[in-house]
Amino acid sequence: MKKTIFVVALSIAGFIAVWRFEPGPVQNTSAIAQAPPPSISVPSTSATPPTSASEAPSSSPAPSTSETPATSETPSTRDTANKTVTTQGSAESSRYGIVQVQVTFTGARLTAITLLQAPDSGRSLTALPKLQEEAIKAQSAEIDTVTGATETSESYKTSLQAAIDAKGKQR
Amino acid sequence: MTTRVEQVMGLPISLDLRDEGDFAEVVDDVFAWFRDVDARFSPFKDDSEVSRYDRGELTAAEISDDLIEVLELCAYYEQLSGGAFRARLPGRGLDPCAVVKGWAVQRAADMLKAEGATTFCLNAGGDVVTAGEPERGRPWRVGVRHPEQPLAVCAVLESRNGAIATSAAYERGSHILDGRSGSPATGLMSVTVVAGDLVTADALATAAFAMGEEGITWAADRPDCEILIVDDSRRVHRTAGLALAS
Repeated sequence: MKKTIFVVALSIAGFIAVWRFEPGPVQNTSAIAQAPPPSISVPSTSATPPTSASEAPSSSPAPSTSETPATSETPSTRDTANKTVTTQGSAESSRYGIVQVQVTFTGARLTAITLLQAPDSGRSLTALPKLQEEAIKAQSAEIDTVTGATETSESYKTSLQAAIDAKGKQR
Repeated sequence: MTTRVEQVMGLPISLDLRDEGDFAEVVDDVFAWFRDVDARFSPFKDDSEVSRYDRGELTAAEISDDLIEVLELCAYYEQLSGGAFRARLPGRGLDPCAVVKGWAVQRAADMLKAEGATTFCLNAGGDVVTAGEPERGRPWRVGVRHPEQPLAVCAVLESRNGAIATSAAYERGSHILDGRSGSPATGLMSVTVVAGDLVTADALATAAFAMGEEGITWAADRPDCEILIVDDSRRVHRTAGLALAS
């Protein structure tokens, strides 16, 4: 049952994080969205999760259908009244882009929501941390041409575009 | 089918035309146009229209409609970018190259279309205009050069009727200056812009690159274009509408 409460709490947290998020100026990978600590509290004793969570639209006890599924729980201590638990949600795509939240509970109270990944602008700019990762994915695709800054005839000679042009001449 | 590569305007220009039929004449015209543009608009040629206008040998009333169009485009993008993009830096001559390239290549693509070409890829020094599909149901696949590895790509974009331009600082650094400071632009490795025409794509890519980090949101906020930017920390920023090849 404790697990259920926890999941519901995360559902609320996840929903609020997404709902509160306003695409604004560039944010790097971790921007803190402050949660109003007193207003969101989760019942810590009773086990009637869905009714208490009026703000979470589809808060089901099953993690797979909630807004922040696949949470990796990392409780640090055994439960005492005011233990602090920090949990990361999985990266979810929203209509604004990829959103990943980290929520922190102190006891039953939600004390912080951190946006681990957030869209960068109103145009839902995705900031991915790794150029290398992108590049590896791209290598397998066949290409017809290359965009890039070819500044001189000299740099063209050893460029991908020169290789593509040479291939085209044989056709 | 025609493929042709020539060095004009100091750039390798490659045309890959897939339409059946005889397009020899218009293809000749296209490359003649590039040589003409080079002669008229190069700031490095003393007798070009740009140089003569810059020295005051031609008045505003005497310059060609083409040069007027180019100067108007320069003024527009200078204003749009808050001065980061500038055709005339303090203490330097008029250099409209950043606009001329995209403008000239888009004009060439329009010449091809006017003669009935529907399926081609025109690449001038890494700035690309595409039309149609090289194979039925498959768009052109445009690799984005990896900013640190000349023979690798860091993304592959799909394009049918559109334009893609990249401004970048590779190994030897950038020659793009931030018009606001006059110093070389910093903060970004490479800026790729996809737009409906190459005038827009090229000018936005150059301006965003000149702006540095703030160019990321600036470019993303421009309507009707998609962007892919690699910043100096090797992070990749792209708009959600960017057509990545799967």
